[in-house]
Amino acid sequence: MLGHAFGIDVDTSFPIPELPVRGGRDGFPRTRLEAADARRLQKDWPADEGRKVVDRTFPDGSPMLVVERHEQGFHVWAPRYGRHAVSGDGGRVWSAVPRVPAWRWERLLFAQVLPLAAALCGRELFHASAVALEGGAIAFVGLSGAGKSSVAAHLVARGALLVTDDVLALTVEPRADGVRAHSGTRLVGLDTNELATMTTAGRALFGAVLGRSDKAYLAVPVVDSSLPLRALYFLGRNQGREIDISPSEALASLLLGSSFLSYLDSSERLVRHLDVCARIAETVPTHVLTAPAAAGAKGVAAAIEAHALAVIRGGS
Amino acid sequence: MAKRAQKIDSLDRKVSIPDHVVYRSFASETIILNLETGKYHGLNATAATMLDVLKDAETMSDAVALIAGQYGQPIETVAADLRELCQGLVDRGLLELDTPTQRG
Repeated sequence: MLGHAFGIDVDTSFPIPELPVRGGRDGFPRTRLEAADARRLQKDWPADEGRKVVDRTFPDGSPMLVVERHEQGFHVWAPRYGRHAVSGDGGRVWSAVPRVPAWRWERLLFAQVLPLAAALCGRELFHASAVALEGGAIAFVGLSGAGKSSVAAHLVARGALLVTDDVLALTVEPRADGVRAHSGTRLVGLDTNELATMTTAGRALFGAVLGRSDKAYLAVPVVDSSLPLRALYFLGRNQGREIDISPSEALASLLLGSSFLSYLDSSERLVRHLDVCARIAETVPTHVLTAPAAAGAKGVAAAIEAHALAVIRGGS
Repeated sequence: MAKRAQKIDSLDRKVSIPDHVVYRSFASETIILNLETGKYHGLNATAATMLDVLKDAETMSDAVALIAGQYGQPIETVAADLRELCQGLVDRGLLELDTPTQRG
C-alpha cells in the first residue's frame, strides 16, 4: 500500500486503515514502513546504546512514551501502543504494532513516528491543526487543550475539508513565494461533548466512532494534496465576553515556540525551522484569537471561518 | 571551557557574525539563532538596523557615522547605543571582534 501523510509518501508492508492512500500527485520523499518483531527491535535498538530524548511517565512512574536517539536513528515506543525504529534519514521505519484495534496503535504511529520520519525527510513540523478553505489551508496553533482539534472539527462540520489534526507539516517551496501545508491522516481524536454540539448533517461527516479512550476517535476525510498556507491563528483565552481576533504581536516567538518534536535540534533543523517561521511571517496573515470559555469551539470555528474567508478574499 | 567574552575597548575595530550564527528578519524584529547553543535571541528594529550596517562596515566607528548621518542622531548617542549592543552580542557569542585595524 502506498499512502501519504505529513508531506512524505509511505510505502507500507501492512494495512494502515487511517493512512490516506496516495493519489496522483507529484512524488514526495518516500519512507518504507515494514512490519517488525517487537523483541527484535528491542535487541537491535538496545536502550543502553540510546539516549532518551523523550521520557514521559504515568503518575505511578511507569513509562507512557519513550523516544531514544541512537547512532542509526530513533527508537520510539509506548506500552500497548507499539514499538518503532526510524532510520536517521527518515527513509525507513520498522514497526511492531500490538494486537489491538488499529486506531489504538495508529495513535502512536500518527502522533510521533510518521511526523518524526517526515521531519527527518526535511518537513518542518508545528503543533497545529488545519482545514482547507477556498483552496488554501487555514491553521490553528495552540498549546495542548487550546481547542485546535475541536475548532478544526467544527469547521469540518461546517463544510471545510480537514488538512491535519494536531501535527502540521510545512515546507517552503524554493520557487514559490509562500509556505505549503501538507495533509495529515484521517484519524481525529475529539471530545465527545463537541460531537454532541454538531448538527446532524455535520456529525454525519465524521462517520462512526472507531474507539474511545480520553477522547472519541473517528476517521475523517482529508485533502489529498498539499495546499498553500493562507492564514494562521494562535488560539488563546480571554476573560471578556467576545471573541477577539487581532494581528499577532511577538510573532517570531509565537511561531518559534510552536515547533513540534523539539528534540530534533540539529543545526540543519534549527535553521530550517527559523526559515519556515520567517517565511510565514513574511507571507501568511497571522492573528491571535482569544475567546471566552463560553464561546465554545463551535463559536470560535464560526468566527475563524468568517475572518479567514475575508482574509483570503481580501488578499491580505 | 567557555570562551571568555571579549571587551570592546575601542570602536575602531571591525566586528563580524560568526559562522555558527544565523539571523532572519520578521515583521517587527530580527531573530538571531546561535547554533552552538540552539538558543534564539530577539533584536528590535533599531538594533537590527545597527546589525545590518555593522556587518558591512569596516569598523564600528564607520557604522556609527553612517547610522548617525542616516537617522540625524548625535554621534555620541549612536556610539553609546552601538557599543552597548555590540558588547551584549559579543557576550552572548553572537558577534566576534576582529583583530584591531590600523588606520592611517
